[in-house]
Amino acid sequence: MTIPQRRKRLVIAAGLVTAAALVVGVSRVATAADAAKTSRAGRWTWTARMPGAHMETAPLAVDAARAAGLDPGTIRAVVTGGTGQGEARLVSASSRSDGVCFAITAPGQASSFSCRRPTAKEAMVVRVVYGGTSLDSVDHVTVVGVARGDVGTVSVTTADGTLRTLPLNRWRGFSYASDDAESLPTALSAIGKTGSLLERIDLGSFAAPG
Amino acid sequence: VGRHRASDRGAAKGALRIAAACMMAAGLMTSMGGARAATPMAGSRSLAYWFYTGNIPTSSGERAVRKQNDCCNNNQWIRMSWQTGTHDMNFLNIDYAGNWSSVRAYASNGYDQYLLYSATAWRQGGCQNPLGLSTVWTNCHEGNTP
Repeated sequence: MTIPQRRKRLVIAAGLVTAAALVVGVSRVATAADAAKTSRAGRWTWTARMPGAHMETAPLAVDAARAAGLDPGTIRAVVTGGTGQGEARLVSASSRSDGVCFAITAPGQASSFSCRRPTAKEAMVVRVVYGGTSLDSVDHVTVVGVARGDVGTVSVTTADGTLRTLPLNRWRGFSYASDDAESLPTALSAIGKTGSLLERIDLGSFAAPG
Repeated sequence: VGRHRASDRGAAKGALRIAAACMMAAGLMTSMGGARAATPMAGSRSLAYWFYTGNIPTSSGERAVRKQNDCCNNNQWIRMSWQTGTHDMNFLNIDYAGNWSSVRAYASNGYDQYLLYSATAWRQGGCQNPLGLSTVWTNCHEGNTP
């Protein structure tokens, strides 16, 4: 083989190696970017700093937030479900560290806030209120909740075995309300965007206190 | 005067190592876990702080304990703490007409939780063990402070 031929072969080989390196490099970058995207999707974060809409009046939630050392100015309404005495709202407030805190408000009541870090493992945060007009009957059950970033669908299983998909709002909030025994909720399931079951929550029994 | 003995330097290094280990441990602890309760910051407690301390269901089989509030026009707090590692519990409110409302207290949010309620809307506040679940040692407080 002559020297020019060797040089030509060397140049071709170098070119092939460079091309291969570029392909591998690009695929690695794409994989890392995809992984980062997937990782972000599986977090308790939103495009806005806080999920939910500004609230005009929520005095009990304000007092509950203030008592917990949270800034009442950050309270937002994530989702509302039910009507009348069965109405419930999931509210959020900014935590002192890097997270979001959630509480439920219902007529004349507000729970304490519990906070989630962006890396929290649960796929859903759920709150439930139920009640009745006499101490021996359950007239209404309302579930409100919010889903993690990688949840695509939330469904509720009811007492009669029906499975219903609950719409997610822009903050991934969801709600379900029932006022008859057949459709009382028994479990919630969070399905990932890839179709896998991420979490199932058994809602337990709903019995009157009497 | 300005020079330290070797043993002093060794001790100082040891202390630094311990401090660094503590800081790392603290960092790990704060990064672990998802749910954290944002609990109200309360002052000292009187002996009669809890209106009920004991098992629920009670010895008479009641699944709820409740207390009439002092009434009126002010906010009331229910605080419920219960045996760690058990299950979800409920806050319970009952109004003047017999209407009632239970807010579930999920154990995943901690075993010491609060509910703030309006005394103009509800007459009694208390703690409830949901039907079908095991007996749990519970402390229940109702009052106009957390």
